[in-house]
Amino acid sequence: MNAERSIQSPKLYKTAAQSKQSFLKTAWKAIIRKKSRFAGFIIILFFTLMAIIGPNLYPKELPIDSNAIYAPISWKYLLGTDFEGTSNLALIITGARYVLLAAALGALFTVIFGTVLGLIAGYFVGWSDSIIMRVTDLFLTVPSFPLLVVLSTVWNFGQPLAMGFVLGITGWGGMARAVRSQTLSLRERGFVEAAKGLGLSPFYILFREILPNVSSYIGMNLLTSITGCIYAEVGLFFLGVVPFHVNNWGVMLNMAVFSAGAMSSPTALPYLLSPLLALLILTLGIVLFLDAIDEIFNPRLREDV
Amino acid sequence: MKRLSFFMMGAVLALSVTACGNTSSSSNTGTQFTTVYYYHPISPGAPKNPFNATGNSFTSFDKMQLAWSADSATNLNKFYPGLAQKWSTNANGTTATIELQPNAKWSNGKPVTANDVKTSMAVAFTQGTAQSFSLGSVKVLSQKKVELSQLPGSKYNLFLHDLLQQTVVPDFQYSGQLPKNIWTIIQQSQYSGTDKTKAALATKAQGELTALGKKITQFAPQTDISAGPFVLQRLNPGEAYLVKNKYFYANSKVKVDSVSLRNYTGNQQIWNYLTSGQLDAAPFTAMPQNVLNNIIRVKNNQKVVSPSYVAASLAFDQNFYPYGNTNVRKALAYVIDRNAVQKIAEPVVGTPAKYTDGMIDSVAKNWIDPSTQSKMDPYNLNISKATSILKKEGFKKTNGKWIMPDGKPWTMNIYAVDGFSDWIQGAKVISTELTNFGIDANPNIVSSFAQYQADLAAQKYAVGFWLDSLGASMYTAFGRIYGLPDGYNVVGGKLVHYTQKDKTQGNWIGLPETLKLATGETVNPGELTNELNTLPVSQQRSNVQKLALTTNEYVPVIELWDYVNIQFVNTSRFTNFPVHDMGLMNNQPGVWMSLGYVNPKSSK
Repeated sequence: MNAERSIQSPKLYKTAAQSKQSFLKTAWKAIIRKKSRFAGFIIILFFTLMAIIGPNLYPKELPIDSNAIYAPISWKYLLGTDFEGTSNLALIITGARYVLLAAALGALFTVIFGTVLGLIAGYFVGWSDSIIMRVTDLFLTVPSFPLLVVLSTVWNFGQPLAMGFVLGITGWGGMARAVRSQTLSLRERGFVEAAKGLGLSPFYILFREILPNVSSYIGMNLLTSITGCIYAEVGLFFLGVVPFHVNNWGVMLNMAVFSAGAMSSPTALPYLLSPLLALLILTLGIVLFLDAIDEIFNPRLREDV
Repeated sequence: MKRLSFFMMGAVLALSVTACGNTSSSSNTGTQFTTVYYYHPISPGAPKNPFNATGNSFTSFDKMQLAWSADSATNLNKFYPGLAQKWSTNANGTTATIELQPNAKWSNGKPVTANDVKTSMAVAFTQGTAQSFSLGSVKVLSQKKVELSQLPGSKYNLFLHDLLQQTVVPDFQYSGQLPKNIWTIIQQSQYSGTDKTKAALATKAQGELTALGKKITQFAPQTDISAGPFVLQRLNPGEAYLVKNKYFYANSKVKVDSVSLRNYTGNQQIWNYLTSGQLDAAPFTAMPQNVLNNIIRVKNNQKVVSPSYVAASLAFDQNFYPYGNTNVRKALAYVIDRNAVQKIAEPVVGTPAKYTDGMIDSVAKNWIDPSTQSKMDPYNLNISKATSILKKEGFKKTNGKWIMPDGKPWTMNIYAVDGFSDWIQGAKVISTELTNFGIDANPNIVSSFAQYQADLAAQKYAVGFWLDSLGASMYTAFGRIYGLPDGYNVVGGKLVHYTQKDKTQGNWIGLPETLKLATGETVNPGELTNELNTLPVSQQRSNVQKLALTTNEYVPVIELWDYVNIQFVNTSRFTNFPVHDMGLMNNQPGVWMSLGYVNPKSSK
């Protein structure tokens, strides 16, 4: 291995920094190629910045004003106010951190569990495949949302990490099956056979040879899992099965429907529509950006290749 | 969890109802009365058993009592007749004689007899309710006449009041659930002397009654046997449908053919029913102003305002650190802005509580002398005072957050119940106020009220919402604090106190038994409350004032707002609601109907 590398010419192989720079350049080109992709990118960037910086713009406990309960939309309250007279916009901005962090962690766990187990099952086949796939079947069979509802009664979701982990462990089944299928197909390909012939370790082959070939699929799944995780966690908060320790868009929906009468009174409608609008825009951004992800990770789709 | 199981059961029942096709709808007539059942939602899987916490038995419709309380603040023994046509007591109120309605029959045509009352009282012993009003013996005088006496030596003021409100069930359905020697067991359980053999027998008998109580609550009768104006015909996840009982003793007075009790899982569903004009009557429901406006706007919806004897409070389990410290509770009372809390949580049917004294303010003004009131602290919003108290108690504020004397940051979970919109909003506002003050507070939601009460009793919550000042009687009002929640119970006619160490006895407040007031007097609030059982109303004033002072000084709960009872009626389909009789209005619609109220409009 070392001997093999020692004969490689530095002119023929890019350094890691060059490779990274090249990847970013390619990615940027893919993003700006279409307006829709760029719009998606901007939306995701906007929400990410909102989650990172937003809560620092406000005091930890948002001000309440009993004289401005359900205030209509105005310059002072761009999205109206809630039952405490707190600005809905402030609630959306400060609530984004938990929602997005939990969703990102949930998607990350989904992708890690699904990819690792899918790769192992698809490459090693045999008894490891059987065991992993039976466990996968179990997770695919059990309806994940009701399972989350049950888990929420015994799990403390005060921290996004806990929420993300639970979302991840209930949602990796489909990902594992898809990665396994692709791995099964790739393991018969020439470059894998060649790598085996060179005596490379199975984990090197899995993570350095096969993984890059399924990266497009993984990248897209990461983004779609984020939307799935957002819906799941917001749904849990909306149903009220999760104690609302935190400011959260789902809590806003719950309070708007079950305490403010937003479904029967237009007065509280901005309180209901604010989190729905945030969810809609974020989902739109992710959907628009998915197109770019496919091209970034799948060289065959690049128009300039 | 509750929702999940509910939906699953619902799905199964929905299929069976669908299979029934149009049978159900065809039986609906023009005189169907639609409302929601006040005490609990419809529970498709639960038995037709009034002793089951979620049982499908509906007070005033198919579940009957001897009489219906008018809930009068001035006359606690004002009742509307139910299965009892008339009643009387001896001079000191220790024995009551009940005469049943001569024509009272069960829905299978069998007469309601004194024996049914006797069996019902035996069942009441298994549920612990008969003990609470010191029932001693039941003597059947004739088929329609029964005499009930208090335990020898007892004198409980509300004996008749409580007795008349006991559920009456048929002997032919429930006697099979009881052993033949049930009254011997009851008698043995009532022993409270010093004879060790008899005391051991009493303990054994009490255990047997508890076991029987569980068996009774799980009993699932095949059919609904009703002595009320209606009988349950069918049940699905959306409604309980009851039809007129042709054997009801006042059948001719009942002008409604059937009753549909709509299911609900939270306040907002009742709001939606009301805003779509579907309910002919609706009980008190917490709601925001915008929803109230919508409801009133619906054609023929009317609101009816009647007295309420209920306050919402924030209660403490003093077993949890640091809430065992009276000064900590006082400091919290100074931090909570009750005006803002009421305005946000209960803007329509509530008023901010002026004093934490165990009573609603409208009742307190009749009981509390100005000199006593001058000794009370109104705990008006005073952040600097709260800060000073906490610092004296060893609390420190670092980076805007309070650190407790044990060195840990002060966090607080405030518990409320899912669907109780006013409690949830109240918990949220208080959390905001406390967090701004430097205590990291969060609202927490419990799935159901039954679960909430069980968890409270098991000492699981440090801070949570509680309804106090419940009822016109001072004994009932203070019993919400210095009764079972503080470990006091009446066993065999004697007051017993259970400490918090015994987690099975429901003491979740945990005040010390004796407390020294600022006046220098030492009081036992449990005893003072229990004495309200026996003292004539004219002699209760002294106890009430001491209890009010104790509540104000030791703050076992912080009273937040007093409720105002607002009900709704819709006159589109029915007229002649008892809107001018507040005592009757506070009862369920089945009582109105059995007394001749609620008439269908002639066009129907």
